[in-house]
Amino acid sequence: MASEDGVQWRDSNLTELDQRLRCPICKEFFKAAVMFTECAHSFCSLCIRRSISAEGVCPVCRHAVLESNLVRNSILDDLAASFSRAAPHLRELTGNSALLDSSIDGPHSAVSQITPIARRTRSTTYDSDFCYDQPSTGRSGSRRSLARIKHLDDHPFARRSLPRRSATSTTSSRSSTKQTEETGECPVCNQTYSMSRLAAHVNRCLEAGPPPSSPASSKSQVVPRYVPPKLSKCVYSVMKDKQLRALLEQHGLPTHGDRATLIRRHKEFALLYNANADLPYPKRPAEVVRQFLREERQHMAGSGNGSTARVQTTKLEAEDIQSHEIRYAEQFTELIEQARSTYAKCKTTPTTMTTTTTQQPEGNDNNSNDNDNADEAMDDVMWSAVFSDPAYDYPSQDPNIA
Amino acid sequence: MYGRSGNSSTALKRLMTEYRELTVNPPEGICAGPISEDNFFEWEALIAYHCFLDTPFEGGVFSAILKFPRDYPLSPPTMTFTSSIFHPNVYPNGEVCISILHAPGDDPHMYESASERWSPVQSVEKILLSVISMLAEPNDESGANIDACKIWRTDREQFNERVRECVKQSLAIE
Repeated sequence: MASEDGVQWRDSNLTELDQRLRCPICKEFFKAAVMFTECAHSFCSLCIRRSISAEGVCPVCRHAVLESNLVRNSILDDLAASFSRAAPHLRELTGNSALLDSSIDGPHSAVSQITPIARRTRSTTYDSDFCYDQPSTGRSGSRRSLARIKHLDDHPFARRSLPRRSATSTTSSRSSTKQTEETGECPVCNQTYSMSRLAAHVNRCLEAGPPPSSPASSKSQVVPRYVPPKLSKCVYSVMKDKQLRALLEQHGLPTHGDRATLIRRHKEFALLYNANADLPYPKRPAEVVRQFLREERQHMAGSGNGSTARVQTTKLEAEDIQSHEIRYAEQFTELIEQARSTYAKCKTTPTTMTTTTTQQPEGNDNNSNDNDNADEAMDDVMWSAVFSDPAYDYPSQDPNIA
Repeated sequence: MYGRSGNSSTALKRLMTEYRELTVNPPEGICAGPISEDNFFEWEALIAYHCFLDTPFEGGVFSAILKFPRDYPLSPPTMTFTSSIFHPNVYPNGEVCISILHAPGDDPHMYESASERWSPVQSVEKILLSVISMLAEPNDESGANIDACKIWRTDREQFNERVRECVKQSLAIE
């Protein structure tokens, strides 16, 4: 989801904030953040598990650490997610978006970019568009929120955050009836409150236990966080091949290959499995197994033309996703629709799977490989489109059930 | 999305992030990037003269090849100068011997403290900065080029002279 990486921040404080919300190992925004109880350094779960399986020290301070002393640091996940959601708006406020950058040529246009900032800075939250819209339109809440959504729709960066906004629209229009008072969003539950009540509310929210890490999708708040039990570490050297195979079989993993392959497979699977358990909303074990199998296939094909193909897909991420997203908005929606219908089809009749794979535009001899890449590209598209709803079941993952 | 990558694509992603970072926000005097976009695991780096003010290397532009392992950033890359460079910590074949490029497991010289060595939180930028400071201040305790070590210890004038020759070579003046 390297969606916001393309552009640098002009403000050094924002650059610092951006850096601090990134895992020191992969340099991306935290995903399933965990921290060591010994030294309090945080990382992505998968990154650090991989790292300490190679060397049992904290990569930052080299303090000796144990994998069992990793605890979830869910607030970092939330912060990173919120920040990357707020990034487009922040960029706009600081006149830092790639689109604006390209249009700034002389001092004149620079000034015209700065004026909106002054107008907007009176609001403390990036929801300002939403809360401050048309101060005196009267009391008809539903009509007003509709008008707002329309207004947001015209906004170049509104697409991504739209679903979330509409979910909170009723509460915020209620709380913003006193238009003179400033409002802010609770970082824990993402509800909008007036500034005077916000501090008290956040305290209450924090005391109420583990925060629902998803951005206000009421559906997922009802479902309690499902935590699969962690896999314990195995001492492979004392295990016989038969035991290793039994271990793999237990999770429905393939048991072919020599001893080294078996060990590597279980090690890698345990990493993925345990890292999954640290996600705000862990996937079901069966899904982790599917993901693992897909990655193993990819890894096998990786040394051949697979790696160059992979470069092709990731090159996209390096570009500025925002401008890309606007330019290809139509195609994206089309792709999403397509993916949804494929998903629905797959769910009802698993036999249609073969036909869907051959429908890939560049279907050639290397079918499985191709499918993986298309799958990933799709994954990226889905991610940027449904970013605000992590509970969303990615349709693109399913054509791979084999 | 999360964790979809196997080992080598984790490396690829991380390398692309670093490349972007170095392109958008380059440190002074350093230029680095993949030689070809088809292979992100082999980079070329240029270290330019303004990093070496007041050292015998002043004025030179040195190029080096960085090779990344598939499990980067778990393992460090290797760095080899392609321009000839006369320095106690650079092997005659150009390979750089510096603690930040040594994985904690192997310690060829048995003197480095673990804290100086490679860790996944290091980056290309940090490597290049370390190499720059190494060039300015050789560490004669771990001699990679024994000749250079000896001359550096005994005859600083001659050492500086040899280095200036390298600088001229790097600029293709000779």
